[in-house]
Amino acid sequence: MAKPQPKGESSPGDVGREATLLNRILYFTGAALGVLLLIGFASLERADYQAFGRASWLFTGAFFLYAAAAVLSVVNSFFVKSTFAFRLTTGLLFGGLALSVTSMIHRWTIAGRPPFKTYYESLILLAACTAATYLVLELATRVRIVGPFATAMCAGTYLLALSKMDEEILDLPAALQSFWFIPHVLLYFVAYAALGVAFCAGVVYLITPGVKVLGEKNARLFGRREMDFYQYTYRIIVFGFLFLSLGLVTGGVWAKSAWGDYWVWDPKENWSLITWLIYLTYLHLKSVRGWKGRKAVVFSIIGFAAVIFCYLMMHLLPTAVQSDHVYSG
Amino acid sequence: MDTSESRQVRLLTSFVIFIVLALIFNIADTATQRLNGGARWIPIGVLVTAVALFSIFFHTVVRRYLLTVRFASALILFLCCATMLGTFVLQRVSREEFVASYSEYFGEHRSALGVMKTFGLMVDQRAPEGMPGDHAVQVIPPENRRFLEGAHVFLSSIGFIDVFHSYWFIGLTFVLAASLLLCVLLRRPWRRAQIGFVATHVSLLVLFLGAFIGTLFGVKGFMWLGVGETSAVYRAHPNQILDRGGKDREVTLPFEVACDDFILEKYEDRYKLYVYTVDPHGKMRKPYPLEFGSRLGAAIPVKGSPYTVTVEKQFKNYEETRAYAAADKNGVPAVQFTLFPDAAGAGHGSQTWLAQGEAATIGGRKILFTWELPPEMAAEVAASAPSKPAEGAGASKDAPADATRAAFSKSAAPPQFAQGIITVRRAGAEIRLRAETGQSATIGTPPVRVEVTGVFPDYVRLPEGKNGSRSDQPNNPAAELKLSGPGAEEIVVAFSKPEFKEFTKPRHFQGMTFDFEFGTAPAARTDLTLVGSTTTLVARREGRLVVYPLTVNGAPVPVEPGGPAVRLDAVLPKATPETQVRDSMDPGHNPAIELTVSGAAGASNRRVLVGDLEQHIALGDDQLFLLYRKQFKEPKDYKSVLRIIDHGRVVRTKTIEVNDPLTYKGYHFYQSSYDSNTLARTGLQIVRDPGLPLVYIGFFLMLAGMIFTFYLKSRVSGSGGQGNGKTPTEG
Repeated sequence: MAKPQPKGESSPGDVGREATLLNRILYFTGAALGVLLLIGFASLERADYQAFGRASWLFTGAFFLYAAAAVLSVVNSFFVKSTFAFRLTTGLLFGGLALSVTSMIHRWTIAGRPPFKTYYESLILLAACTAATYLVLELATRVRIVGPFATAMCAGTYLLALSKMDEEILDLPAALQSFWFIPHVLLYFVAYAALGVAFCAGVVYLITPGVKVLGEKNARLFGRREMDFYQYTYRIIVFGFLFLSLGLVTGGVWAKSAWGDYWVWDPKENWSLITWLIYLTYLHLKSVRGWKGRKAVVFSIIGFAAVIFCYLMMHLLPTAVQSDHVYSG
Repeated sequence: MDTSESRQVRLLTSFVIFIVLALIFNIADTATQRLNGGARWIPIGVLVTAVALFSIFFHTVVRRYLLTVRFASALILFLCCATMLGTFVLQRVSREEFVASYSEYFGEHRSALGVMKTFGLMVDQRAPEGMPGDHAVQVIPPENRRFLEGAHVFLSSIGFIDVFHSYWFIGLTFVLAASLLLCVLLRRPWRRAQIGFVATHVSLLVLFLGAFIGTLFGVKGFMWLGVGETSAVYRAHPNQILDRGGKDREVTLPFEVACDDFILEKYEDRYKLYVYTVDPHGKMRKPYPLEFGSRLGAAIPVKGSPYTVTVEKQFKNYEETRAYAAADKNGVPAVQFTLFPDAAGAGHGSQTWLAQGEAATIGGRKILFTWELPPEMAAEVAASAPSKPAEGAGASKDAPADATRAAFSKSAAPPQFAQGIITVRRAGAEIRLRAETGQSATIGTPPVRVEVTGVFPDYVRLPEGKNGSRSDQPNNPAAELKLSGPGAEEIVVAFSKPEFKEFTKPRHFQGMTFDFEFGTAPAARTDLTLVGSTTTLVARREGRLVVYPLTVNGAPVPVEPGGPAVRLDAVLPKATPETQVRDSMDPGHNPAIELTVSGAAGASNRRVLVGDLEQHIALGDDQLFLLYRKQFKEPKDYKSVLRIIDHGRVVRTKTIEVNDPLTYKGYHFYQSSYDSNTLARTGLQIVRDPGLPLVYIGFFLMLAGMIFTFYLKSRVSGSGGQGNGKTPTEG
């Protein structure tokens, strides 16, 4: 305790003293832009907003909680500095997560199968996983600066889900009735969620490079008293990568039991391999001189772009017709 | 600092040399029309030897440059790019498939819709059953064809058509394996803190080895096995590396497989009331089932529209009979008639009542009843009454009169059945075509020729971009039409189902619409008008009106060769209707619901929707469509009861199903498909993969190593974290 400690742990203002006014402005505009972009993207997807009228209150409620959390956390980070406001944001996010999980359980009971089959169902799962991952991270590290991005991501995912809504619940085809169905999907979505949060942290690092993760608690957690967001992002990616690998391996084992082959060079398989390889390279680059900090974070963002492509855009590939598991619906 | 520069240059050079070498092998291989069997080892061997020799002779280079993480990262990224390539270029396709797929792909992605799709801006409109997708098939211009064919030749010569089995890709994995091996052996000292590092890297080596063994020595094949049959012979697929482009061959297993039973499990049939609403852009939204459960009589609001639907009654098997009874006054004219499908009036006809002005569609033919012939039709009859011998022998057949009956029955040729009528409209003009391959007509100015090039009762889009029929059942009838006009030619598919109508959108000939009324109607569709006052039947045949006199309860009068024939059963100048609806409670035949639809203005509309007829209600303003139909179900599961007989002894029995294979002596039997027509044949995939245990060990080792490296290492090696040689805290 020789050095003066920054307030750290319970201080909500992780943007902190190090951040200059310019950084704050960058951060604020970046966050606001992120939210706007996500909403814009979802509306370009022709999310038919009247669809809210057809959505259940669980869906609508979760969306508005996520959206409120996103707006509030942006406002908090810049204008309001009260602990209460931050707790409120966390509470809203918790509420959204609770509604997401409830809606999934509800659908599970109606469908009599896990609600992971269609695009729509998987997007709800992704939003819930993202919210959960971010919340765990926030509670563990007290780092709230990633909040606006992560919450906006949840809300954006919901908007996307709105445009893909399928009220008709279909039964599982034979190939999906497997022990591996639930673990495979869950592992992958936890991985995607973690990589999504890491992407948000990376964006924060890029627009406010001086920001650091501080505090006693984190000293215990990460073995160091202070680390910058590049290292923080790295930790999250390591977690995501582990789950990505678990997903890949369970996928292989499942494919073996269903199709007789653990790997068939199917486009979806290939792209999940590509994302895995990109993050693998990212992990290796840590020990390459000149590939730390900004460059590495940019690289991880490319990795996340590959995740998005693998998850949402498989139908654009000319080889998609050859695939056995491009999402339906 | 300049060494770093030159190091990169040298690395790049060796990479380029390697790739060029591999490409040369590939091109040579393609040019000499495939090496076979053992000969394939030569290029692989050369590549491996090259890598090994390079490593040995230039071990200082290897140590200083190739062993760097930088090199490993570059290698991984290189593999990454190769994998991407394998998803952008269609893999293992013939030249024809290549040309067809890409011209369609680019065609689709060039249009405005395509651009939107490319950027992921389109919401897929999912149609209920067997979603037909985008159906306009691009006619390939010759220059595109030439380009694509050339591209195929070039790409296959450098191995891009089969990236994952090309020499350069295999060589790349060898280099990666060599790099991994050297990395484990040379790079770091063996210490406890390195367990994770060693495990992850060795795991990949083990995985590669397993995959390599599996690819070279594994066997894959397929077997059709009838229920009650025993066989040891299956069709083995050619090895993807050693026998590229080879053919399936028959191989005998060292034991026999018997199939004792095949079980197809289905989900319970459920009929649902589907709601189609329209979004503000006028596009139909995805349909969804309106759940009414047991809430009969309760108004259910339709989300996203101003309507409410009240389900009044559910029928397990809806039967409707309508009769008219003679009335003294306040009645309407009514007629009862029977339509026989064949000209002789034999067989089972359908008896129908019609009231004044009503029309029925039976067997794809519209029959209208009117008491008096409308004046314009009467005028037309008068005009065409005298027969016109000038039109030739063919026309004289059409002349009305009893005499023609003899001519009809003489025509011994089997009646030609078309599968319905296609109505084409363009700028006010209208033509009708029989849904029969080869039928054609021209429409409008400048003239566009419409030709029927195919009729599919159960439409399916075949993988190679062609249209086909899944079965003979009229599940999703469609007709393929070729449109040719000045400067353009294209193919469209016209659907019979109303909900698929929007998929028929010609690219060049915009504004043309197609109505395909499917039905097993006789060759020429005839519109019939029953006239009550004169007890005659007026038929429109090929543009002319023909009058047939009828008598009540007389002999059936054929309307044309091959039928149908019409018998008049009753004519009532004044009658009142009595409709009897009953539910025979015989489940599954004709389920229906009776419902009331109330609009924004409160107006209600009482209707009956019958499940099997695929009828839909369109509300007046086309904002709401309702359809009562079976929920689409894939089979729940399919299983085969298999028995393995080795040397005359039954050694194993198992009921295999999807996701649960049988394994014996290293052979795995997977439930892969079944004969959907007879349900008496099961399709088994047969796989033998000697490398599999290694692959699984690799999987396990990799995950364990990762968990150790990421989360346990710091505990084992103390709080130092980065493994800087501290003694472990625990033993």
